[in-house]
Amino acid sequence: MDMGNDTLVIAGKAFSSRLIVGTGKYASNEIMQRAHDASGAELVTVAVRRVNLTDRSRASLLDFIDTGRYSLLPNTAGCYTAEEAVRTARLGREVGLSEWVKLEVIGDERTLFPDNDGLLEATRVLVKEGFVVLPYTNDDPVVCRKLEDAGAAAVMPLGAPIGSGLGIQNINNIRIIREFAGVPVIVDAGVGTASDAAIAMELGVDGVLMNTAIAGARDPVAMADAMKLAVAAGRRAHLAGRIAPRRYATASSPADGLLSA
Amino acid sequence: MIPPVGSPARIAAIDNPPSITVRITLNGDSYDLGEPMTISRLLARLDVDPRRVAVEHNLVVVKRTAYGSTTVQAEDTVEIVNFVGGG
Repeated sequence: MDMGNDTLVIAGKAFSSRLIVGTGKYASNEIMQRAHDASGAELVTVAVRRVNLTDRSRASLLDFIDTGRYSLLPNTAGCYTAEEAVRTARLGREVGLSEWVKLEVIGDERTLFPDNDGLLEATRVLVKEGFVVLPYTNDDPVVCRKLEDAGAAAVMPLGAPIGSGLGIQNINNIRIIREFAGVPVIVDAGVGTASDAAIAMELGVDGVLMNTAIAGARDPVAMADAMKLAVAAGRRAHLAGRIAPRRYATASSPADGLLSA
Repeated sequence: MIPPVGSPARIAAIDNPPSITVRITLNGDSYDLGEPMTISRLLARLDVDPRRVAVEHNLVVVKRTAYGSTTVQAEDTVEIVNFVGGG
């Protein structure tokens, strides 16, 4: 199969990799850089935070991200209201000089599940201001449809709670979200290991976004490579069209010509 | 004109000297600017590379091109943010 033209297109921008990776929780910027390289990703998320004015010695994250190679996707992580998220998105746009935002409006501290109302409200405001909004959302097809109607450039349902590594918890919902959506579907959060990423892609989603699964692995660079292969394998399997599952065996070898016949 | 020694005006002037501090809220903390200054000067004083940050002045994001023409005054609120690792 020629995979040369199988690009992920979000808001008119084409990516040859369907894996989006984060920049958080790495033991060092150097390891992050090598993991990014191994992942093959072309889009990386970053967080917007106050500059540490008392310790200016710390290196800038941007010194370790080649922005010629990677596009930046600022997030609004840690925002609990639409207002905070909008403010953070506007600041992120000014730092990165890009309209793209991974929109998070969190509704609960323990689960980091999204606040649907706040997310919709912030999406509407930011879309009106010209942002390319990629909302991190619940695995709820109705919420995803509302976000799309509000102008989201993609919808990013969670596979499981952020950083949990539990894998795709509601396979059926993710499948329905993909079926309903007229915009790309990116499974964001919950991936623990390569098979989780492959399962997501086999469901037909357009991409997978992960941070902890790579950054928290014993060997982040090797895991980044594994994730690259898993996303590609899952995508190919989806396009290849899997066999229908069945309860009983069907022999792979012919029944005719057996010695005992 | 200096008020006469012992006059109420003289006492008031000693008790409340003209303020030379310009106190702002910078990244959530109280900060003394000394005098009103542009965002460009503030960033230079803080040793912050303007190309790596965004600045919010009284809840409004300031475009980089306006750093030299935007003046921070007493009582203002300034936020200076940058990108850090995140997912």
